[in-house]
Amino acid sequence: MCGIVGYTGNKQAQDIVLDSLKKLEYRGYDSSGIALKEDKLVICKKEGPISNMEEILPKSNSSLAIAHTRWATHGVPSDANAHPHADADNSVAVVHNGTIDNYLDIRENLEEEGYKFVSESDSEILPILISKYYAGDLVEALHNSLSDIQGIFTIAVIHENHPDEIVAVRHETPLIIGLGNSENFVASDIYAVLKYTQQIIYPDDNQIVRVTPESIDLFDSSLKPLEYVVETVEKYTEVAEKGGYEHFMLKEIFEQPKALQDSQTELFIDNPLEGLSLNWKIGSISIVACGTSYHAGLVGKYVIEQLTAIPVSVDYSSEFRYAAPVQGVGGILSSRPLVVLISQSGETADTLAAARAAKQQGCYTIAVCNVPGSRITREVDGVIITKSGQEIGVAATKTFLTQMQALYVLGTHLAFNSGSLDHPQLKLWESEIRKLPSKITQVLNSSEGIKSLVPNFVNAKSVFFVGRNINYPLALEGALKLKEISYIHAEGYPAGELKHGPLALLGEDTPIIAVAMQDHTYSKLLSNIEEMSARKAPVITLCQKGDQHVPKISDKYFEIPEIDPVLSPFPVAVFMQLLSYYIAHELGTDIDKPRNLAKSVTVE
Amino acid sequence: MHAIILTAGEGARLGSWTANRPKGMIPIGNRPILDYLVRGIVSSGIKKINMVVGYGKNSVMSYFGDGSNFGANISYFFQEERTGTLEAMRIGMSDDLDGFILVPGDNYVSSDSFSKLRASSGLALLSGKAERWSKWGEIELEKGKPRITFDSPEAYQRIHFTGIAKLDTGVANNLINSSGKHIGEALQLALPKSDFEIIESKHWHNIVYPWDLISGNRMAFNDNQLYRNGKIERNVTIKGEVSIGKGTVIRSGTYLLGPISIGNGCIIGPNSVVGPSVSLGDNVQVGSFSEISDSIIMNNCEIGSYCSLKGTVIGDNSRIGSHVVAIPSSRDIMYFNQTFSVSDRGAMIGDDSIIGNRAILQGGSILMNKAEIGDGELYNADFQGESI
Repeated sequence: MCGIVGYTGNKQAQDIVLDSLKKLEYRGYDSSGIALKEDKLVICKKEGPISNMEEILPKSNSSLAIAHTRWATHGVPSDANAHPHADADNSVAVVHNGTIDNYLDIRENLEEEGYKFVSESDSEILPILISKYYAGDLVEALHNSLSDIQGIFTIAVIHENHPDEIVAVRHETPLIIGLGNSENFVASDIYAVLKYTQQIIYPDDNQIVRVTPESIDLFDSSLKPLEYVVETVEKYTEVAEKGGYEHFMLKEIFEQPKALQDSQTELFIDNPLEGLSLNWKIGSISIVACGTSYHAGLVGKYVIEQLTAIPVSVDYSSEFRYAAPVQGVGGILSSRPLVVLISQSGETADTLAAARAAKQQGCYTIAVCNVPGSRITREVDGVIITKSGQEIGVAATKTFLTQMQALYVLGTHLAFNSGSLDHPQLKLWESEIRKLPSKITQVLNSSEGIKSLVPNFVNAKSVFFVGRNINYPLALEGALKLKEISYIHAEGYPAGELKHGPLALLGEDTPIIAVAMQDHTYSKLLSNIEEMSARKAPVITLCQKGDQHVPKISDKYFEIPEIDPVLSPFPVAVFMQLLSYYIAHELGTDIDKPRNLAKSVTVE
Repeated sequence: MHAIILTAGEGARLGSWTANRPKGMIPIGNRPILDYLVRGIVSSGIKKINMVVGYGKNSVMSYFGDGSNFGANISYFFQEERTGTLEAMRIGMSDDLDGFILVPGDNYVSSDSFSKLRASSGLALLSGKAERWSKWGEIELEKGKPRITFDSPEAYQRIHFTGIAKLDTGVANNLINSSGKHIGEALQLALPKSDFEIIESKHWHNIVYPWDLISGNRMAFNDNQLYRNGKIERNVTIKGEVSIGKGTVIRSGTYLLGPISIGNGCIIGPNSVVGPSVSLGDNVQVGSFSEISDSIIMNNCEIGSYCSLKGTVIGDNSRIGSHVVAIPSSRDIMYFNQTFSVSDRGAMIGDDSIIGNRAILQGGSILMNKAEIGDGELYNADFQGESI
């Protein structure tokens, strides 16, 4: 994770870099730091959020700067482990995102050669190596250092002898170059620079780039100069400000109707699916993702299987990429498997690796992603872009809904291709999906009702979320939301599974959220609620409007708007998000930046 | 200079249309009423806006954010209890305030009004030609000095106070401490003590009742923002000011007569006739051979084929069958047990309604949220509700 920015130009770098760095705070907020060019290099770094560092940062007129916000992997969050790192006489400063796998060996060798280290960070070897190899050309010094290291990294370097130069390289972690007017930027993602420029260069792995205010030089891994392509990205109208809301998470929850609607325009009108050649006989589908995206994938499984009768498996990216290639899905049935990768950022390391593994095995790969131009969109066969806008809160909200929506539309599209949906049925689905923004608006409008449920949870030892069928993943997602922002232990279970173990944990201090939609599992779920009530656990049930049974057997209930049960995950998700938010708010946790977490996970 | 926008109230007399949104967020000319106010304020050079929100605050905050998309710097202040406009103003008066323009968020005024107010030298009231009585009162000049009165029985075409005023903190505090119940009354008491200039607005529309949305919509097209996206198929005729949103498809043979504003992701036609003075929200579908004029169709509505709609408002997510007629007829509107003479209105239909095929909705019909009209029905019932 970690976020990197750099600026070289004709303006005062400090404020620009800090402003950009704050856009990257979602990538980590354990510590931050900045390196500036005065007579010598000046480095200022501090544990904690960027504001901590800002407080102690002296004013500088330097027009060159690199900065970093850290999510700790090697070494605890501390001032010493914060970036930028420098060599002993502060001639080189380096910011690094990623991990150096062989840093211990290199460090031992360097220590034998007499170099001193001041931190526990793997990154500290970088300035020392670069300084050791430096002979007047920073690009060469970085190039020589790269041949020693193994790992994944984005590195940006400045040197006191090169007052307007930043040299950078990437290997499996993100790096973009932003082109301005007599000023240029390097950064971990486009959001950091969009305020200043929409002209972006995306360097490939192992290409070294030298950036000065007036020039960009790109080199391949043997330092041969390369041509580069400048792409113009769409300016995002949403800005990273809370606009009256107390937290980004709440703002983003309330942005969901718009996010769904914007994504619909993309899905139904521009229809990226028509551009994909998906009309072969697909024998199997794998959905691969992490975290909340994984839960969206699980919902997708139920929908796609129901619509197409094609078997769908859902895997965590970190597991999928190391799994043995399954014989038969591709080879024997001679039907190329379809692999759908879901990643909000398009940079998630494990999901990227899974995409590569899938392609190698000859699968057709589709990415569902929220960041156009991101790494994954460049590597897969087809892309479905969700139009959620930037999501800042670490707990995913609007991207979950737009990802689910993308999978529903993908499902109907596959079903249509395979003949299980005809034209009018496809239209009917489309018109039902188009109603989602209004349905979830109704849940948002009843947020006071959700807030009133909070007292049931603040003293809970543990909370269980249960659901069946398509709402089982929502139980998982509800539990994930609650634990990540409120730190209350929570678990999601299929409602029928409690009796195989977890019932042993139930009691008065373990409230239960049950999702009871009137689908084919409804009557079974009602019996499950009775089972749980019998163990004295307070049961709060989500039901459809006008439900006759649920109010009689639940301690509390919440009605979601009338909706086909197959589309109920959307309003149910909004309920889960708001409930977790209000509980966390009551408990006073740092909702937008839960401890130990970061938004985009670019380490494995 | 600041502007304080008051948009915490519910707007109960608009019935259905404020059930899911505050009044200021109702679209006319395809943008919320508040959008016109914010842009007008910004174009007068005032960037700092204090917005007092309460009822439906989330939809306001989600739409405007911190204001940077509008060139403004918006701060939010919260009025959770419905304690009136004077209290709302007090809440919105931040510490850094000096002079400010007070703007109730449920009026439409032409955007030039704010430049004129800002250019005035001292305190000022914005006046407008009234359609009927509002809570703000009538402005009368007595020996060159303005006076606010509430006693004339007639209002039509007389000069009224729009609720929009340029104040300083001293006068504002006097108003708060006066014995008036709301800003109009408080000003009535305070006016003799200070010198107020009267500034006239070119267009003013006080939106109170559902059918006011239609006249507000017509007026709002004076500020139509022109944009042209989407796909326009062959043989489409476009005349006048027509805005078309992203991802919208205008099918062959369709005739668009501006002013029209069409949102994102709509599908119009083939062979439909739309305009003038029509605003279509996002994701609206209009079937073939339908004709729509002088109407507001909000988001996610589906309109069948061969419909004829005029002077009509349709709320979000409604489904209108085929061959539906909703055009003005010569009769008065009954609303909450009062009679209103408005002859050029079709039907006013709330959110999430379903209107069957071949239904005829007589002019002035008002249908609240989730109304259902069966196939072939003739609907002419007057609206009888609890009194407000």
